[in-house]
Amino acid sequence: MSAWQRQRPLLLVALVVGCATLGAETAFPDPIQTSGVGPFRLLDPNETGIEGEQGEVVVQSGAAGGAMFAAGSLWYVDAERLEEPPERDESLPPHAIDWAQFGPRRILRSPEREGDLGHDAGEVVLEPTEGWEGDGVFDPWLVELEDGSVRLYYAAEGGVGVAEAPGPEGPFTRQPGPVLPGARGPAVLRSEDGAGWWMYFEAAGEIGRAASADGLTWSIEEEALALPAPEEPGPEDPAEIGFGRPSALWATTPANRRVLRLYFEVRRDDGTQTVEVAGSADGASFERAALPAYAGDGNAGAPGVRLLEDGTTLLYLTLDVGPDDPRTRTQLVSVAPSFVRFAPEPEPEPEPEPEPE
Amino acid sequence: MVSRASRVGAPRAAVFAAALVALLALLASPGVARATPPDTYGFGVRSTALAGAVGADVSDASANYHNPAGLARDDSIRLSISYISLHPFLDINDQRSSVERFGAMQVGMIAPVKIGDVVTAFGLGLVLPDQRLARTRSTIVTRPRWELYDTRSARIFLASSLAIRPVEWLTLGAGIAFQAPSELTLDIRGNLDLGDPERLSRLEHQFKGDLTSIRYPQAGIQVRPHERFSFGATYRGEYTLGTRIIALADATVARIANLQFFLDTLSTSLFGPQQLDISFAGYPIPSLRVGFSLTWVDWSAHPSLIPTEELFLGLEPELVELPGDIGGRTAVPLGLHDTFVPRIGLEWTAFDRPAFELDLRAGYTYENSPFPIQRGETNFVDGDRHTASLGFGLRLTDLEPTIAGYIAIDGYAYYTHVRERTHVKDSLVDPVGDYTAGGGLVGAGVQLEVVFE
Repeated sequence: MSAWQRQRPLLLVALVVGCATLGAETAFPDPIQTSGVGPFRLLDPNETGIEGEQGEVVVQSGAAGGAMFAAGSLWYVDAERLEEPPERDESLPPHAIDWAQFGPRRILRSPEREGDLGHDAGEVVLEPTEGWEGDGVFDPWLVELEDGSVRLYYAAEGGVGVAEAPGPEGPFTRQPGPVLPGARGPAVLRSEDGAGWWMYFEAAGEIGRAASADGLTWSIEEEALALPAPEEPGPEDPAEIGFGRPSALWATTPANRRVLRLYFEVRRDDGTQTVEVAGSADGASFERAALPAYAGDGNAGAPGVRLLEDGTTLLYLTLDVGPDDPRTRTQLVSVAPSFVRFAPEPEPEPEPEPEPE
Repeated sequence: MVSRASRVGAPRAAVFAAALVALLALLASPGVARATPPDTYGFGVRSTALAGAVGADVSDASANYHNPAGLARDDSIRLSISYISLHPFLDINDQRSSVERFGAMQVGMIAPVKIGDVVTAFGLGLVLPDQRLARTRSTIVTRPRWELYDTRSARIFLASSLAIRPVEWLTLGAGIAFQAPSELTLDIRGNLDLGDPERLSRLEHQFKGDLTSIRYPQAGIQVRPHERFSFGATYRGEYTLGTRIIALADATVARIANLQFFLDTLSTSLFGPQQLDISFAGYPIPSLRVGFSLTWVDWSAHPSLIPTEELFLGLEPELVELPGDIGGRTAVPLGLHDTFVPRIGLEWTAFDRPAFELDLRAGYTYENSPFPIQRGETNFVDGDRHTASLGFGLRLTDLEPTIAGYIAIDGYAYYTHVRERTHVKDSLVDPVGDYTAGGGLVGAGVQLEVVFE
């Protein structure tokens, strides 16, 4: 036996040992989130199919007053800016819409599109016609009933009203008068036991809860829910002076636990506002998350929550676009968990060629 | 397969044994314990097929992990090389987790020396993982993690042990294993020009990495009062591998202000709890070996895996307002509890011929998870594990004059079922929320061993 033949097995072993450490990097553990508390990420134009601002969900010519998704459609508020609007009310915070500069607020419906999460401009389904409604209908909240008919809750000058239709396409027939006078921002869902209805609403800078057996006749159960921040604000932090625009849904966690999630505006004494989220097991006592649901720039408001089948949460919200933009606020859509994507990320824009000196 | 042993005069052997134990105690510095891949996936193909219930009578190179006393149980020279491959399929909320496959080469050696009637032996055990020799990943507190499978196994394991058999019925052994913590420093100094950073900034950085070794002890004893049964005990100490990263930035900004940034993060990248394994092996009939063991694992001593961080950001003079709440974070207690791990292994000699011997093996292990249900901010999702294994050993004995001994070819396959566990958070607005986690692993290994008797 030659030396080569004797050493061949050793060489083979050395080769195998050496190759055993050839490696490739693997990803960190995948993130998950089933609580829907955010932080929410604005969808990009590839995901919405709208070549506009980041997260823009429907092109609006006027001011965006909020939106919610139900029965396969986006229900949102639009108002055309007047051709010769009055001077802006300077007492309003810079991010707030001065509705006096716009025409009547109307509720529009826009069905979902194939392939993306954006919406075409919708059709008007409700305009102010009743005396108690004043010059606008807004804060839409649609509920589907078991028989396929729908109820559209909305806010107007005199309170919360309701209109009914055989289907989301309409036509909508109003119930007489406001069903909850003095309230705004209705968010209606089944009660904890499923037998009746609950409505979360905004009134006098607080969020209250009303109950109803039939969804038409309401009685207030709580005028002001306790929604304190988990941590006391510091002495230099702005104080919270009001809550509003609730949006609520029941979510079932992977542990089969039902949680009522409440998204709402928090307004502060320095004129800023954020969208926050709280959870509740019984619909009455809430635990508020430590951080805002949307943590990007701007003053987020008018949340409208939508739960997808896989547990992903979409949050429709409005953001201010600066005092020089006549719209004041735009209607956007965001997602949590933020790592969820509905389309490939957009290609980064190529850097401009340097100009020759 | 009852091993042979030799007789020796007791007084001289006792002195020798005492000296050996004292030497090993000196070698084994405090603060450390056993290696990680064997903890998770076993060591040695035969021993893994028997679910690790081998501490009482192990005599092959896997004694370097299972019980160093077993190195001197036989007086044969042993060389073994094996390859194992394990594939996890672990899910969280029915989504497959990105836990990578684990593969490793295992090399073992036993070199006995006979001085008079006393047998002493030196052993080496090496686990060389596929892909990388070591990996450290700090914990992201809001990201669910399979702690027992994600990074713990991505470590090289090297152990050296000594053993002595002073009398026929007694063997003693001890050894040390090695691991490396790391301390990394990134130092950035210079001038940062905000107006024209590319042309006018002058920053230089220095990176320093320090991988110092730490050692940890393991020791064992095997007692064989009768040739039909044996007892064993193995102790493995604890060790903590820390990772410290220090980042310093000291720069002049636009020649008008001094910016200072300091980050000091200290994390536990790996902790090996101390363990005590008590084992029994018996031969109710000559062709059937039955082994049991119970291992206490001191998981409750586990330090937090959440890094402790100290942060400082300063600007002098204060040209812009800096965030005031940069303060780092502190470790979060994990609340692990100790576990008792029962194991059982059966080995049946199906064929015993002059030219070969064929053994069939089976094993079962139950390991309850040391991690509690994750109700708070941490998210370590490992659940209880049931592991069933099957294996074989083919021993070719008629090899003389080519080899004065035998060649053994061993193989195993196993399945680990990780019971699904539902983690319900105390907070209804937890940043992660509720989830379920479970799944399994399949693994297999083959080994070639040459034994010179």
